Amino acid sequence: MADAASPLLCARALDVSVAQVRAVRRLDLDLAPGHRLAILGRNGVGKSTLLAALAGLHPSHGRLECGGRALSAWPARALAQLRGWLPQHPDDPFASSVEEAVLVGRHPWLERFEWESEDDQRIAASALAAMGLAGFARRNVQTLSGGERQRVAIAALLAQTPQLYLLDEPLTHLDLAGQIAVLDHFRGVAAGGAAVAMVLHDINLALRWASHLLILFGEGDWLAGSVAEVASAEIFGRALGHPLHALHDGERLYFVPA
Amino acid sequence: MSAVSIPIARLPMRPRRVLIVLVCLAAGVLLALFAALAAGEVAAGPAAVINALLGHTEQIESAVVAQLRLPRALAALGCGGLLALAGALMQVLLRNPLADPYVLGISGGAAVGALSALLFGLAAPWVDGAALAGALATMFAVFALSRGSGSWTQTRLLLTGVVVASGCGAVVSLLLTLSPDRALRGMLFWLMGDAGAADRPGLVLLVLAVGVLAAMPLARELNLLSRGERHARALGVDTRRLGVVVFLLASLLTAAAVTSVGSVGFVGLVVPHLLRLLLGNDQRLLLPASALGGGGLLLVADTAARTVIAPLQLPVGVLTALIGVPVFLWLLARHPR
Repeated sequence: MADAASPLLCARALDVSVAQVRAVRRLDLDLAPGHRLAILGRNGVGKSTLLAALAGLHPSHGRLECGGRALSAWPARALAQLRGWLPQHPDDPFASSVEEAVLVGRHPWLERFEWESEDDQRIAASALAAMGLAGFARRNVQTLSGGERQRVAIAALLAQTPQLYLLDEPLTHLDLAGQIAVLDHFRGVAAGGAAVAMVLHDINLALRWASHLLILFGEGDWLAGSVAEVASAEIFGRALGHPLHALHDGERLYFVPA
Repeated sequence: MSAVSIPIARLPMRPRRVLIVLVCLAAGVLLALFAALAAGEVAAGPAAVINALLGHTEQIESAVVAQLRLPRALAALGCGGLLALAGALMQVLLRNPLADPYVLGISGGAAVGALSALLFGLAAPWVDGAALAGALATMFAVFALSRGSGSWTQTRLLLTGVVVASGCGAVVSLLLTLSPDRALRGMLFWLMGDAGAADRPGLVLLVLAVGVLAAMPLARELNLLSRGERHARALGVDTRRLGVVVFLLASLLTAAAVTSVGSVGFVGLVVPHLLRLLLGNDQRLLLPASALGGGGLLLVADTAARTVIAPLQLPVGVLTALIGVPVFLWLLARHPR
């Protein structure tokens, strides 16, 4: 188990690149229990690659630790009990029920010849309910809408019950109510002692949800810190390739395209 | 978006349900085996079949059953199971419901290997070994060229399979042209080979049993692999090792089947697909069910092949292709991605 005092994820001088794209150069990042990190940047800047690298699914250079232990030193199954990763595009070449799609999240907790128990099924059912899909267990995933499919994928991640959540664009295809519901749910997950990092595109939703921001500017440049430290029209404008205006509404800060 | 789904596929997967389905399938296979032993020019009644199975072969009917029909029926059963299990494994490995030893040109590769060995006048074990090497080489080529994720994978996989299969066809023609007359007969026999030519049904069934036993411990990991390589890795599956094991296993199963009965197409495509529609895509059920279903289908097809227009015998591969081609085209139309 991870030491409670140590960060769930710790990166030092981490280099991540894919093909010709350099996602980050010498990244320093800590994700402690309770942290909600939003990763922002333009298309093709390497956000997904960075997230996969943080999950140990893409090569990186530098120090990368999970629960105080080098990511590469973790046995695959034990690591899968600790950190979960949401892929950007759930893909279903074969038909399967929604329940089966969610139960795959229980895989790291089962022995080789063990079958999903009633507890596992309860966990899957409550994950589906949390994503507003309570009546969907018997549906075929191939017949779902994009937003419903996305929520099934998130439910599978919840059923995995990790402590470190890495989500690649979890709000894709979701309507506004769905986006807020997912963000609120992961706020609760983080409050329960997990750390959550997600790639987001909407600055205002990111500011509404996140405690910390990691901004990728391209060519490996990055900026990380608490929302208060980082959020400014100048920085967002530079990161997203379009000038922004800041609007104040009481305590809240909103950014709109200039 | 198609909504093909049958209620039973949506029931929760439980060991008891798996057992019930497999027992039902096994009963069906036994029934088909009994029918295969009874049917033919020399009609054998239930008593004669049972006598033959008990080793009493004094009657002519019982002798026919024990010496001619039983080995052939067991070979068909075993090879059908091998091809369907290999097809089910390849479909998960390539994450594509259109993968099958025949479609991917693996049978063709085995034929090139076997015919090359026959051209040089090598002995039977070398012919089998060369068929295995040919199957492995073709499968490696197709697998390596179609890996990756993205919209091009399906097209690329099928194109690769088609190209490799037609290339193998050309090489087979070339080998037939080059070979001396004395080797030609053996080659044609190999190419047109049917279940009647299989001389080691016990070995085929043994390979099938080993294949099922080797595949079952991997079944839940294969469920994850079917949902994406990286996703499976994130859930703790060593996908590199799993891929190599499944690749080798599927190649060996295919090679064992192809060396015994020759080029029998589409069993590996049709059986897992139909069972997937009926039973869902949980590999813990689908893999053993495919082994049973494939064996049953080839057994029925072979029985039909030797009885429908008796005394003339059809090559069983013709029958399976007649069933397989429409199913394949229908599948292709359903998956435009």
